[in-house]
Amino acid sequence: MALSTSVKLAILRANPHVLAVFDRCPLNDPNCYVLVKRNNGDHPLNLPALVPPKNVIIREVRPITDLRAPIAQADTTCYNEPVPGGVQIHPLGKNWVGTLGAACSFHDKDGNRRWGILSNWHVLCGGSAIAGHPIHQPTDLYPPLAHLSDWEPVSPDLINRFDAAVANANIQGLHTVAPTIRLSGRPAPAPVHPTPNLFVRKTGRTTDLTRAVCTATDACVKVSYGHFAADFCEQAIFEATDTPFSAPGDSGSLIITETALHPVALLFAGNDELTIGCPLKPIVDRFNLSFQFPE
Amino acid sequence: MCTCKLSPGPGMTQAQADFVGCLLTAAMTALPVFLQAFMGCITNSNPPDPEEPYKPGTRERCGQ
Repeated sequence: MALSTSVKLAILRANPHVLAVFDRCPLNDPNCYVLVKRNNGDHPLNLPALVPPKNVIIREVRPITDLRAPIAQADTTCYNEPVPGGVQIHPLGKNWVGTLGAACSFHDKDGNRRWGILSNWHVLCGGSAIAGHPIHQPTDLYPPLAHLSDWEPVSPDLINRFDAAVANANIQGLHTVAPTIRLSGRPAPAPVHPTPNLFVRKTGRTTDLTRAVCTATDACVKVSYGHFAADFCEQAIFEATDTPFSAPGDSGSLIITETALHPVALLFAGNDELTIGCPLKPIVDRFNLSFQFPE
Repeated sequence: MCTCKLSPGPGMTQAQADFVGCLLTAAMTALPVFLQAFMGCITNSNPPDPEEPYKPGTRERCGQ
């Protein structure tokens, strides 16, 4: 029996050392649940009665954090127009860098369709956000690539579904971005929902092109943003078989299917074993987002 | 002009009643205009701009 989102969230919140809860086990046992917890010693597990401890697999991993990189690790690779996805971006004056996921169109707060970029809230905004704030590539030593348009803040108190924001890439009447992703090409316009065993790829500013498989969906995850932690549900988990799928700086990367390049999820958190991505449907609905570009 | 004609109350002159009537007329005239502007602000009823075409730039932005 699959656990409901409310039960997964209850387990996550009743156990401060538990980092993720999902019901996908290596042998596809439908009565098996996985708790991912910090590897920092023994703590008793507080489980609801409908989750017998014998049905639980425990994995111990390092904390799951957002995947920005400090500005001290910024690289200086600059791209001329039109700029592809998968490159480093940096909000003016902030002390971190992340990845431009992909070019897209979206509706701004006035309901007007704009062409711009998709990345994470914690990359483009990160706490204080003002519409129109310049987003630069690779850093603010170079001209702005876009201006912050709309975002959904991540809350430490609510159940979050995604970590996303959009920025308008119209600079003096021309759009600075291309509908392609570095090292991967042009993604298919139609997003697909992540499913277990789906093979995916992403291009990020830190680890470039890497591949992984989706190992869980509908996971509830506790993500550390440094000065606060936030609970997310309905998230997808990706794991690589050899090199890490992601590293700090890859936040904002668009995860796409390995062969047909359909958008799957927006990468925003992880550790050396797991990468967490937000499925795209809630993001598409929130921003009226589209990856469809004219030929 | 001043369409609100009031009869003077106790201790009030006709001129004072006419003045209050003028104030009421002005307020009733301005009310719909004010409400329309206020509702426009809170519902953001401005129609969207025409669809913006995608125009990819080809500018050199790295040569600094």
